[in-house]
Amino acid sequence: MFADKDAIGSEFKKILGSDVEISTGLASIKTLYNILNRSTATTAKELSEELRAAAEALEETDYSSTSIRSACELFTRFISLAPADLLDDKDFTTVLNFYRSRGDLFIERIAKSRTLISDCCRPFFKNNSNILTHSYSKVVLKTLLDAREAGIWFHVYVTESQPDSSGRKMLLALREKGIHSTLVLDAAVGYVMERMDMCFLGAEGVMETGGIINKIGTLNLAVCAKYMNKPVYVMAESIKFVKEYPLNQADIPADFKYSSTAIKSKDLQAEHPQVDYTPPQFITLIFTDLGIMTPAAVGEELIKLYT
Amino acid sequence: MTRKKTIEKKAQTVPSDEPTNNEAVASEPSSSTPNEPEATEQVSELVNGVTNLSMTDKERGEMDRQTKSKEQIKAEREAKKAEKANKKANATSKVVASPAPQIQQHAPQIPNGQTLLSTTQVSKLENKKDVTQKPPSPEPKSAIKKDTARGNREVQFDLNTTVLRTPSEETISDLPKMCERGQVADVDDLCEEFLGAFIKFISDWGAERLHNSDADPTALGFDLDLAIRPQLGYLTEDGRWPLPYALGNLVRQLKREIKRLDEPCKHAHTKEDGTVAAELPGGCDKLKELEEWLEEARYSCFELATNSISTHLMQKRKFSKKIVTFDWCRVVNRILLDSLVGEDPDLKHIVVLDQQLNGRGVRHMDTLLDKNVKLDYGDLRSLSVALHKCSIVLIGCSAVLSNGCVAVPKGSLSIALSAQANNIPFMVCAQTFKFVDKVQTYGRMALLGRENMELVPSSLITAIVTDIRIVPPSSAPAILKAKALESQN
Repeated sequence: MFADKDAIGSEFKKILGSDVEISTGLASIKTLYNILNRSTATTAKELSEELRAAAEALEETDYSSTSIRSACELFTRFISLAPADLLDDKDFTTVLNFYRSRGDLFIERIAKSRTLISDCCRPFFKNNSNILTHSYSKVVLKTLLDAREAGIWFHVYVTESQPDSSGRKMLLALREKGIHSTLVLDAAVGYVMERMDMCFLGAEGVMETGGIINKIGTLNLAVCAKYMNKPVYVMAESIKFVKEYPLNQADIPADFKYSSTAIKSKDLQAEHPQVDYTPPQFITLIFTDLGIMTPAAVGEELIKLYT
Repeated sequence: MTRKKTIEKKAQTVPSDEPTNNEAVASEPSSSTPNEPEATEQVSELVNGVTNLSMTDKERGEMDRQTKSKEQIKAEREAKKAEKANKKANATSKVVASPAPQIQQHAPQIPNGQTLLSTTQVSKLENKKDVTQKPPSPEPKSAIKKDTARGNREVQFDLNTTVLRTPSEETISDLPKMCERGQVADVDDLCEEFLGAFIKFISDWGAERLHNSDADPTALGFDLDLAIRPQLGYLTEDGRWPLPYALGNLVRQLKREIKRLDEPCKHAHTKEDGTVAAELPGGCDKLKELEEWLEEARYSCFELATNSISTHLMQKRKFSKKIVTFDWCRVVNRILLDSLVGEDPDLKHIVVLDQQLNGRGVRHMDTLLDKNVKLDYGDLRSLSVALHKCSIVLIGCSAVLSNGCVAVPKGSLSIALSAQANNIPFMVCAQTFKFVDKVQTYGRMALLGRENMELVPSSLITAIVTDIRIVPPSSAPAILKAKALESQN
């Protein structure tokens, strides 16, 4: 029988709490992997239903639905890429063991993704440069820390990122490692942009268009940067590739914009969105564990992943 | 004294320039305009009751005319405007000419006066106009009330027509005639008719071959290829007029399948004496496979693809309150009809634009008029109004090139530019068989009225909705690769 939704939610939060560095996507994959290990399914369909129900339970937590949905979908697709003769095997435990081994491989690969992204990004750093970043992104933080360790000197400007001031968290983490950084108001992005050399952004989800969904305020930064001809580099793991095609801000799915609590309880007309959509024309390059790609190449990657 | 002199001067000049037609009447105000300050002084004095002027009745009439000049000027200007509007409408519009009563409605209210046209002269003029004008044609059946205030912008709809196609029994060589007769409206219809005609051709050709004992069963594909060449040569006039892109794609895939007919038969079996059993004489099994492939292609490229495209766009349904479309595309028509299913659909307003009134876009109106949705129809001149508060612009296409550009009916480029300027998503519907491995258009094209297509650059397109998924225009090569891999399998 399927596990209780609350139990799945609390297991997910426990994994997130146990490792500060772990991303939401990886935590959701590990939760699904634990469910896979405990599963007593006897058919492939039953297993996929079980995993789908678990993914829905994870989306109902107040964490980033974008990252959770994309990670769960990609995990399910990856593990089920089995040879046809294996799927025909009458003993489903053989199939389950195969899925578990694929799950191990997937988690091992994803755990290295931040390091791969950081390595891809290293050549783009220049000494004595000014870098603007938005809110708190673990991928961007790791990239900046690795570059500093490699001996590159730069100054980071971090936006405050209201309403939760998550930019302050980023500022503290940077200063702890001795990186010169300054906190700027969200409204001061246009003011500081002229002195920046490049902008680094994380992403909660990379869309089929090649655009990204990220913390509210990202679009403002990207538009300013485009106007002033500053490159905008996005860092995102491949598990954040989402099978959605927003046409504009109004077309972002509601469960991406608002927390699940807000969706259930409040009138969304009065609720501020937590994220915005940055179209691909404002992004210069996207750094992923699959390599460096232009926004246009994302669509092709997604076709490869999902067909 | 000076005042008397000026007034007398005016009184003297006017009789000599006594107008006998409207032009003279029109010139009067312009001659008076430089002296307007003096004229107003004179008028005010007249109004104040300066009656010690010795004037004849004629002169008094002239004075009355001057006092009324402002009203007259206004009336004459209105009359000129109305005349110009009528002339324009009669010259440019192809719809039914406005009937005679409209002229009377817009006729200037010329005050009765000696120097002005009398009512008899006005009626004579009107009679002349009536004579020179064509008699009004009988009132057509129209679902729209005549807007007599605006004039003669009338569009003829026929609610009895349907856009449901029943497959016809025509042959390949009949396709050009069908295009000329208007039985084939667009590339989708053309490709479907071609596949149907080719299926018929194969069954007839196969039956003939069956009776031909000299036919070599191992050269089935070669013989079929030879048989089809004159048919295709007729369509393209021996290569002078290239086929439309999507049809060219289908023909290429078809030729590939025909080549495969000469590959060793999978169903052949060895006999006891070691010889390979020949398949049925004339290769009927392979021909049947080819027919099945064609039927499957016809189903998957049209019915199935349209369903998939409509399903993909249903995800955008909540966001699409007002859709603007251009020209006719049956995939877009199907999407609009599917969006209107239910008691309270999200889609509230549809605007259909055409290159000119009574164009192919009227076919949309025929299917949508009885649905519970606000429906507008217009030509490209009403583009700015149409795009006001528009959610998305949705059009069909005849081909998608590998650089992401899209071949669309003429006029779509202006809509794409306007949509971009207004931040409105511009979406194109295209089945995957329309993706072609080309980066340039031909200057000329066979069939479909030999009408050349317009290219919309990929930078103006927000998304291309295909039967696989919604893709950005830059993913056109990926779609081509995916389709090539599919066909290899």
